Amino acid sequence: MSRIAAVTMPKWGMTMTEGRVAAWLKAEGDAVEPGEDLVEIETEKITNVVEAAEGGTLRRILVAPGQTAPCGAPIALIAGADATGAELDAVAAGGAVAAAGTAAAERRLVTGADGIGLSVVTANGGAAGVPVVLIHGFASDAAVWMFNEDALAAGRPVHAVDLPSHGASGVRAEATGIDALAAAVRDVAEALVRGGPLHLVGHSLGGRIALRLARGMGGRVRSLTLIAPAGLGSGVNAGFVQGYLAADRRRAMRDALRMLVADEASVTAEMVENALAAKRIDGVGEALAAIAAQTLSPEAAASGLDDLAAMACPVLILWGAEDRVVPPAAGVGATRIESAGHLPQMEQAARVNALILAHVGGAE
Amino acid sequence: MAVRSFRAALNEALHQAMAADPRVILMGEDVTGGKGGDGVEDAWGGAFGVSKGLLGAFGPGRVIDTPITESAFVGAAAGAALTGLRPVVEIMFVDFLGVCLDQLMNQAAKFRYMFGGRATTPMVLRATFGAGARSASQHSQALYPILTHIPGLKVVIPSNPADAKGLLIQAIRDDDPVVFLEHKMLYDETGEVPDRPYATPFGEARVVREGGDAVIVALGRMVGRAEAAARTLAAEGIQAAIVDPRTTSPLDHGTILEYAEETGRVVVVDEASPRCGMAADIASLVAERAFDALKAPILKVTPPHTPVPYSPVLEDAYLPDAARIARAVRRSVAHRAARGGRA
Repeated sequence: MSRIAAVTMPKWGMTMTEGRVAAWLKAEGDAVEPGEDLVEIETEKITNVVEAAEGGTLRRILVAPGQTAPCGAPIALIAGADATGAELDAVAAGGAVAAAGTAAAERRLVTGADGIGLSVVTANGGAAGVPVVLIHGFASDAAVWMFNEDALAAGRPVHAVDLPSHGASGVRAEATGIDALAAAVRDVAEALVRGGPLHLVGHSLGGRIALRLARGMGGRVRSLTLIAPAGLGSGVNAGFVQGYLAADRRRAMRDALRMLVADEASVTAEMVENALAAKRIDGVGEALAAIAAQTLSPEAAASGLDDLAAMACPVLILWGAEDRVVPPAAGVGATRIESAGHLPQMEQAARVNALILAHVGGAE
Repeated sequence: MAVRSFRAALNEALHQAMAADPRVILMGEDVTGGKGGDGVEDAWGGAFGVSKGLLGAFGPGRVIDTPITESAFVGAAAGAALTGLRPVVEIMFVDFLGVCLDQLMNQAAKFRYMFGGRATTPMVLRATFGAGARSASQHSQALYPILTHIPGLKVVIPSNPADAKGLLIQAIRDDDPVVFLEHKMLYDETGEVPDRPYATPFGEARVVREGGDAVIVALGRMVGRAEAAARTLAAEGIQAAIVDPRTTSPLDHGTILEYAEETGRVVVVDEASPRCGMAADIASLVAERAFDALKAPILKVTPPHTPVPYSPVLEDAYLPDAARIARAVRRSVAHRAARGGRA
């Protein structure tokens, strides 16, 4: 039987349970190359393109435009010309059964010594592989990994942490420096991996925190991935930080968020509303200002180079070529991600996922 | 972050506001929810279940059942606010506004102005409004245009649970009298609501949806219906933005005009009666300030100028629904095609 690959409905973030096919960008019978745009998927929150993971011929479209399917359900089949109709039917049916058994991502609060909970979203929590812990950046939250969490969770648990005073975590007015933030994440990570090994992936300020954390945890950290990390010499654009902190209305916030991406049209009204809503939670604005003052200042711009030099595990550094918030640092061996700004894991999710999976796999 | 109902979001806002500030008190008919029966207190948390648990948490000194005399307890709230408390007073249906209008319109709304800015009136008047509950014409009106008309009042109309919580907390923190109107058909609607307290500012519209072909301006329960219409239209290739002003006083002119200028086609959906209503008010704003950007006449989708019918069939026909909203947007878009209008 020839190889038949099912294209499945992606899962972007823990609240997504199903998606709608907005449009097929290929027709049945078309040849498909790996990485080619295949289908546009729409959720309540976002519309994005899914690329083909494998090459071949698009043999079957199982979900027509306008129709919805649950996350994980097969929506198309890619195979060679030799696959028979019966074989295709069998894979489609088997995929639907497998999807029905897929566990949903779960969110929980891990309470620290001070009684304040940090939120963690876990995908594939029951898997046996070495877990991956994802650490988001300044003023962001675990949702920044919506295009990555599920893809990285093949065979291993993936935990996306919300930093103190971010996302669904509690506000910690005192956890505002790198060491305090790293300690808070470490508490959560220890509760999740219970003394075992782990992989760390950090974005922006989360990259800086991951570096400090990895240094503290030593050999248990099997690999480190830094995406557009702060602290490696290039500095953080003060215009972004100040613009974000000062933004109390929609337009100002939209202008700040547009600096994060290469394609400004990708900043949706909902992203702007969510960013404003997060900042309006009592105590969050003050906590973010304190975090920015301590961790994103010009004095902190190269503060992570020591930690980087001390790393014993493999380190992968990814940087959007058009990053306007933390410009790519020179001399740290970063891999450039074209057509991406400060959020390559969202803007070029398929490429970033493939690079992280190869890096994590190579370290195991 | 948790999924909560509109009712639970309001309840949480009241709990958090009362816990944070001892000056916040609650007054109204049956706000203690079933007290008065033999040994029964807080059995159902008020007429709509919004004040459940508050009596137990804050006691009868701060959660006060009143006689069925809106004129007396709304007046008492205005006086209490003047002297330093922050009362949240509930009239069960906004339709009962008539019996306490002087206390609101001529007293609470005017104190700051009449006393030369030396008095503030931090009171919140909560009330249910709106049709759809088979409650007939004296319990179903959307009277916010009357309230919006009165200088000195702020008027809030949340459309979803997250806004309900943030806007109610802002209303309680606000130093001016605020009328906070809860659509009775939204109480069981659910959505994600942050756990911690937060204040959503007045005068800032929410952009519910982006779209380049037209903008639908909608309030309260009509926002959900506009969203349903926009989904239908999207399947036809028409992308409609939706703007929810959230407060009618102050009104976010900037966002409405921005989207009017961007799309050139404006449809205003309003559950209030059509004469001198919010639809007319917003249409006049756009006509005055964004006329040159318009590619089609501004269209209003409102009920007819009649009392709300009691007959379920007529009540359903009375209310703007998704189909009517979608028809209006199609008409607006077709207008340009028919006339070969400006690009």
